[in-house]
Amino acid sequence: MCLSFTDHVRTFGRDCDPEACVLPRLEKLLKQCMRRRGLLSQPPALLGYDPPTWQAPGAFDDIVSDCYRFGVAERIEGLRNQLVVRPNIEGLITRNVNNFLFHRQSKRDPIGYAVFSNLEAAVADLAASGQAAVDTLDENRLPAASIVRIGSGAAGMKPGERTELDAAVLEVPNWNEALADLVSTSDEGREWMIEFLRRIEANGMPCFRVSDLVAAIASRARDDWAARHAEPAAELGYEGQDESYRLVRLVWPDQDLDTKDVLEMLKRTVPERIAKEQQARVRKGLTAVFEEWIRTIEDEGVSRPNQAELARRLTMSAKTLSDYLQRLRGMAREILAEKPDE
Amino acid sequence: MEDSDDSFLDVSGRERVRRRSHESEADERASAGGEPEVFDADRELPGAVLMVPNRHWGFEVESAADHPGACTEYEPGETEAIFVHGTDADRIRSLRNYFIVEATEQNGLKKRTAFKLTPHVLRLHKIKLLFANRYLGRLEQGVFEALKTALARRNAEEET
Repeated sequence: MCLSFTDHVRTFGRDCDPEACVLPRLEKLLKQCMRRRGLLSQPPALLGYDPPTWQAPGAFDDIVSDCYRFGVAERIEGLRNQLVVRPNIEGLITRNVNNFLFHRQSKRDPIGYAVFSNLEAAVADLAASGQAAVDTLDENRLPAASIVRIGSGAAGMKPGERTELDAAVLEVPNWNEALADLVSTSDEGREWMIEFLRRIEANGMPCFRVSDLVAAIASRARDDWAARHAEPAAELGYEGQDESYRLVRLVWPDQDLDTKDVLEMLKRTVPERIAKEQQARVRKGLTAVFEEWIRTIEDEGVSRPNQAELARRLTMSAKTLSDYLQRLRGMAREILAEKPDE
Repeated sequence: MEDSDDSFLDVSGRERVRRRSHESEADERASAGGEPEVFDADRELPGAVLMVPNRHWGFEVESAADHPGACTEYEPGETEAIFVHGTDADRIRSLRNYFIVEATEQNGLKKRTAFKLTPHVLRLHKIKLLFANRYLGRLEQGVFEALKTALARRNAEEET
């Protein structure tokens, strides 16, 4: 039985049973790190997990397993090397857990991550010139729960409410022009953020909680960025951006001859790719989905079904269908990438 | 103004932006290279042989804390997988309900193993953990197919 992460790393081997010893400790640490980042109140989907909330039964099962693999098991050699030069690796595990969250967040919610990064950079600049102060910091990072005060008149003031911040974001001028700078970590994004902080200070809100400001800006940025990159409504006929929609979008046959050629090519080449799959069950599933997809396009034209309808026709669970569609989409992409330019 | 933490001021906003941009690029390289971000269950599980703690099989014995298990089925997107439980073939008196697998370098088994033709459902998040330190190897394709066929036949017999 390991009494610490250090013990666990020292004794890691085939007989080791992390679930029985170190996982409860890791889950506790993970929850602490998530709380500090304000992630416990966010939907698990922001980190790529299925449960509706973190309060749902078993909501932490998957994330704890993934965190253990990322932060401990896959780094066991490096952690052991560290034990040669330091007495324990408890701090390193905390850092790895934070890195795990950072990694998941930056991959699954790139806009939220970029907004936070730009805000952190902006606050660092303002703090360096004495124009801002932060109540708590965590190893050179800006925790989501920390409170930032801008300007000299902010001392003792209560942080602005989320609704007030939402309103401030809605009123900001030239939002559409700034959006592209905000959705990536950039100097332009940092400068926009400095201007925004000065603006809310001038409007009587010199104090805010980091998580509230990030949520206010990121939610508008996510919505508007998604809308900007949505397909024209006339081409949709779909209930949302699900996998089948994206697959259909890839090669939607219209009057354009080239697109029809592409579809014909996929009809020839995708079955060849499917035949290379190792498992008969997967081959069968992919073939069924692909054939149904082709049939749908050829029979029904623009009145395409949504993913739920496709799942019903194939008597497949939505999750299984989604997985097959994702694979087919990958195949289609590879084939199109290999297609010689004519 | 309140005092800010000096270490926060050590890194300017511009430098933070530069580092974060590089972090993103580094992430891209990492995912293109080795370390998988997400456990690819559909690729990893079917045919995998792992040492599975006895409590997952639903029994405890004094002679061993774990037994080999072979994954016979995993549906994409599901949170569970089907495993069969293995034991030393030399200890089995009647091999009628078992499928014998010889030890090979690929499957990682140390001795001739009898897999009982009874499906066990194991949760995916528990199996992920076993891959860290209890992965033995993978059944050869022919053996894997034969095991699945034997399991299906055995269960069809039981149903009739």
